[in-house]
Amino acid sequence: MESTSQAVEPAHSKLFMRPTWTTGFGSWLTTVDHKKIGILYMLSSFTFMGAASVEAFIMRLQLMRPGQQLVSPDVFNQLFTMHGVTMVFLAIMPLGIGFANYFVPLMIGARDLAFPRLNAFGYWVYALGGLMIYSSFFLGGAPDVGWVAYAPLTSLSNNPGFGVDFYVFGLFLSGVGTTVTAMNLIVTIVNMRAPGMTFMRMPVFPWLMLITSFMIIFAFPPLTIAFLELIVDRTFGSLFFVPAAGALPILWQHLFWIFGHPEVYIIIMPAFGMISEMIPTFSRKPLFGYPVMILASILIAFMGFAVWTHHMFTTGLGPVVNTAFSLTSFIIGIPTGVKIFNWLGTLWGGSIRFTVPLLYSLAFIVTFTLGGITGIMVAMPTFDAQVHDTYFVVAHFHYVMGGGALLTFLGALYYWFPKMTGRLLDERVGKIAWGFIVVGFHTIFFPQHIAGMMGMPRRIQTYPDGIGLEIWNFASSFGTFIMGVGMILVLGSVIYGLRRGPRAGNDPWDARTLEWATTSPPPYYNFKTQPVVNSLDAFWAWKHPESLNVDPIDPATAGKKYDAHGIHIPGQSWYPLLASAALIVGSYGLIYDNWILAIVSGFAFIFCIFGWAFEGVGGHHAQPELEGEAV
Amino acid sequence: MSADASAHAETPAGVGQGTITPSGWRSTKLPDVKLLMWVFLASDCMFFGSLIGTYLAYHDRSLTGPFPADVFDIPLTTVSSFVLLMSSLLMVLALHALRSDDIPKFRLWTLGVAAFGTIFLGFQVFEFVHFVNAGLSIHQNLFGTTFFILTGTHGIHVSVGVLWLLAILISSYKKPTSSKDAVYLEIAGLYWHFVDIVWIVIFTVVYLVEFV
Amino acid sequence: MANDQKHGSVGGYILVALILGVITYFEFAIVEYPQAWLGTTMTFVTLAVLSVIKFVMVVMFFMHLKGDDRMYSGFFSSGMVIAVASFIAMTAMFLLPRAMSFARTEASLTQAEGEAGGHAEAELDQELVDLIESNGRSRAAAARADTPTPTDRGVSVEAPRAANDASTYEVQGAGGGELAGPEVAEAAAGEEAGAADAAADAADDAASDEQAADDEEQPQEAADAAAPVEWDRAQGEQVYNSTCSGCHQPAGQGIPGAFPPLANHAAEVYAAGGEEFLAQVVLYGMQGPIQVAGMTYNGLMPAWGSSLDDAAIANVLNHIIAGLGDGAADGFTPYTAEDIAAHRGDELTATEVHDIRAQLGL
Repeated sequence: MESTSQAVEPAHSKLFMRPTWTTGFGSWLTTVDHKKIGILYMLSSFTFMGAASVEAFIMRLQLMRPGQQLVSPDVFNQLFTMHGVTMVFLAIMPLGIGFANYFVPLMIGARDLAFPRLNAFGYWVYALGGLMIYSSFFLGGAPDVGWVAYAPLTSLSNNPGFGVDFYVFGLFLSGVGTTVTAMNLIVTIVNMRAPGMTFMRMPVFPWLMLITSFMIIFAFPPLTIAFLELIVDRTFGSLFFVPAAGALPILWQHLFWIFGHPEVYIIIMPAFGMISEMIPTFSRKPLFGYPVMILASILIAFMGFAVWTHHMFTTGLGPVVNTAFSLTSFIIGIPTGVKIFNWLGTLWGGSIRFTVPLLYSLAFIVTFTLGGITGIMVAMPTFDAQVHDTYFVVAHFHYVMGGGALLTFLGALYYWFPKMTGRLLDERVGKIAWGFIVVGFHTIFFPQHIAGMMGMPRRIQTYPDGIGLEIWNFASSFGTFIMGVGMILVLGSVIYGLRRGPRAGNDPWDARTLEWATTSPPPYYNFKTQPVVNSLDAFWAWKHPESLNVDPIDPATAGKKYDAHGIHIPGQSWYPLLASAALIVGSYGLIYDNWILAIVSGFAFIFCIFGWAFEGVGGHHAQPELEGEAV
Repeated sequence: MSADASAHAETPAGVGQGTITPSGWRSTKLPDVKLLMWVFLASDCMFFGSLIGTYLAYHDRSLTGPFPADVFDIPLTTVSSFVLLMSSLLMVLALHALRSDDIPKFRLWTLGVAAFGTIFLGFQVFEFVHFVNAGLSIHQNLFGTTFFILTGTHGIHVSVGVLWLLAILISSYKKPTSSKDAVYLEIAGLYWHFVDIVWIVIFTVVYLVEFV
Repeated sequence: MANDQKHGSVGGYILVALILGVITYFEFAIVEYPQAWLGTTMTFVTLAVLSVIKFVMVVMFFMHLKGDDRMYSGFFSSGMVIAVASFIAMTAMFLLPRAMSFARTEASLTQAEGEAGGHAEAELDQELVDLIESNGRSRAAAARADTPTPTDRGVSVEAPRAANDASTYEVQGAGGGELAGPEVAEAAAGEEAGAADAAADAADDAASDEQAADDEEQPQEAADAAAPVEWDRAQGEQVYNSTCSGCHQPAGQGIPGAFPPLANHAAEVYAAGGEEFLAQVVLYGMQGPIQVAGMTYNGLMPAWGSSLDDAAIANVLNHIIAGLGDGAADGFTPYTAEDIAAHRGDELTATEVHDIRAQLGL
């Protein structure tokens, strides 16, 4: 562990000297570098995903045969709750944010996010919030109310344990982290694009991250309010979800799904963006229909707020409401379908290289389309009334989220691993793993459609034999072994690749976007000279300007004048981590009715905010020429 | 599709809208912090929308009293609303003064905003105490629950604003302040005005319609 | 950072503030001094319009969206549009069914009173109303449509507590009582399966303990109740809340199509000669289709004879008749434990109880 001996700037605060470590444990705790934070997000996400996979594996083992008692119903309830909470809130969504954190600035030719310390805060509050939820396993039991936690099951009288409190506080804080990171991304994408990069010259991944971020900032507040109302109910005895006082617990469902539906688009849209980068690269063709892709995504984002009641078709809202939201749910399938056609149009006529990222992209197209079709099916209230709360719905959302987001993120891992680490992952092992994962995935989830249509309910710990469910459950559970082999191969491949993978140059894939223009991994200042852009697919235009009919740009000189003030590198800070810790500790205080702890933590948080504000941006100016870095 | 005229220009399109700053290139001339504040306010619309939606969903569903008409004091609340509206005026005057480098006026008006905000909070506290004495609490009935959480959240927003403005005021004595820093007062002002317009909605939707 | 807007003038700001103040005064005046010629709907509309004007003026001029870069307006308006649209939709799903049934009641009321003057709501398409109310939470509202203005039903919203916890229990009058927060949680935790039994067992103790207290409170209660009736109100309410309210709802309004209302209806049945029948329903349950207030119910009322003792049944019946809705009519004599005991030997089936009801001509 190295550390520089003194701060570059005199410290403003006597209590905490501004940290300046560039390597070692401390550098990770206090980093504000978007690349390090991106890696932190990816590591946490994959770790949480591992935990959620274990939970899923135990559940599938339990359901492999009828009448088993491997785990009790109580434990089973905790497993499916935590599996859902972890996958949605702690694994898949943060993974998208992590990739965005690392690659959006690079792809738009920027050097960091607009607010680096806020970025760090967003990460720490997510990570610590997630750990807090998991601590519930050791502190009396995890929440057991489903990842949607419907009222009044979650009321204090129905659920006096602490599990629900951990759920609600942990996700409340995690949500705050996600929301501020989304705000950060919006300002970055609007305000830090390279000179010449108009909005319509921006790559699709940053575009869709911009749209995703808007969805996040609009979708999370209703969830935050729902959590706030539940917290006040449980902690202070208010009546938001107390039926005896005349309250209507369906309010929870409304608030939750006003968040919950946009949430699934928040999960999938980063994946759409990644697919839109990988397919053109490996087809050696520009993306087909770029403006339409953007427009379709904007439409999906807006309409995503107009469909939430399709999660409530069976709650008795009446035929008028059901019809209205059924219509909007059908309509939202149209722009999604347009995007699928655009990806197919990109592949058509291209010079395709069947690399691992492309294989995952192809698997995505097939799997996500199937999931979309079952989605249209459940958008019919009449059909939904038959399959609501059955395994059909479980199959549907795993196809779109697992087949959609997960497969894409695995492809993106293979695609961007060389850029992040400077080493290539083994293609052959990658393809074998891909085979296991895709075959395993379909083995797990396709039979669940059938089990659902036969009436098997969700969230049940076991089922009787003799009613025809055995074969489908057995097949589904068997698939987990196949997919597990694939995931372990990927994990092993990553570990091996980190140590012994062949070196990758700047641009191993002959790709189209700016992150491939700098070294692998990029230096801490990203680009030696500010990139300048005069076309979509900016990097391709640098390499082959004649193919896009644009003037050539010399990256080494074109951007020099934009670095007139030097390359400013923001300073590291303790405050994001400390502020997050204060919030978490305060939450424990509120959960255990330890008001002193809560109030002290509140003051600590306010102190951190003031310290953060008065510490200023700090930092120093990088001088790549003197540091001998090459581009 | 990417071959437009500006692709061949000396200076690529879009560059003219941007600017070079000490933190590096910016693709618009808009300050980062001001963009961030507007994004935050857009998000806060959903936040208060959820609380107001909850209040309206539970409107008239309390099974027991006190009911809104029993406890609301419209003249009093009108006065407090007026105070908050006038604080917004003082806020724009403070910003105007800072932009004109009139530091004493800027300090005066900023103190005024904080003072008016505190007066508003005082009215709120008085009102809450009066309601509690009438038997209303968050566990009395749905009206109590939804009213106190909605207006309480608004009150917390006001308090944060007051603290923020006082911090700006105090730091203006510790470090030289000038129109160069106006954007930081501007974003505090945007936050303050937002809290004001939320109150405009609450005043009508919660208080006034009860008596129509 | 370069400036991105044209600055306003002090005079302009003061003018805006003056307008805001004047509008606020108008809003206050319209409410404090209602104008009959304006009408309710137009008053609503005027208040809404005035608020929107204030809102827009602050946003445009104080927050300076007018004259600022359009990007800010884009951000803010997308937030406002999504917020307003989502929450109008959500609130409508809560309020619209109630408003429809309220309007229908208004319509029938005005028709009955022969009042002139545009209640356009009376012309509601009945089919549409039925469609909206056909299933869902509007049932509760439909049942409550008889009383469109909020009235205090004197319902204590304390959750059932442990039966021997009489010390913390307060007798509720018509003025509304207090819901104890933390005690609810603790008591509710112990409320589970055996509550009815425990209530029955301890009710006798509680009844005698509270007799003295009740005696003291008689004068007060006499002023509250329509007619002075002597029965254990505390137990009646407690048993109702713990045993009956789950289906028949806290105020006895029932759920249309599912659970018949008891408020007012039980008093009617009593007045129609159903005194014994009511005791038998609680003792033996009832099964078979019945009509209440024009709606058919075809469920199963469970028998409570084996889980509630005579005093509990007597007092809960008294609560249902005299403590819910508009209370008992003249001629109501409260049930006593002996009255219930007298029917223990009937040994009826649920279907036979249903036939008894039919014979009453209900």
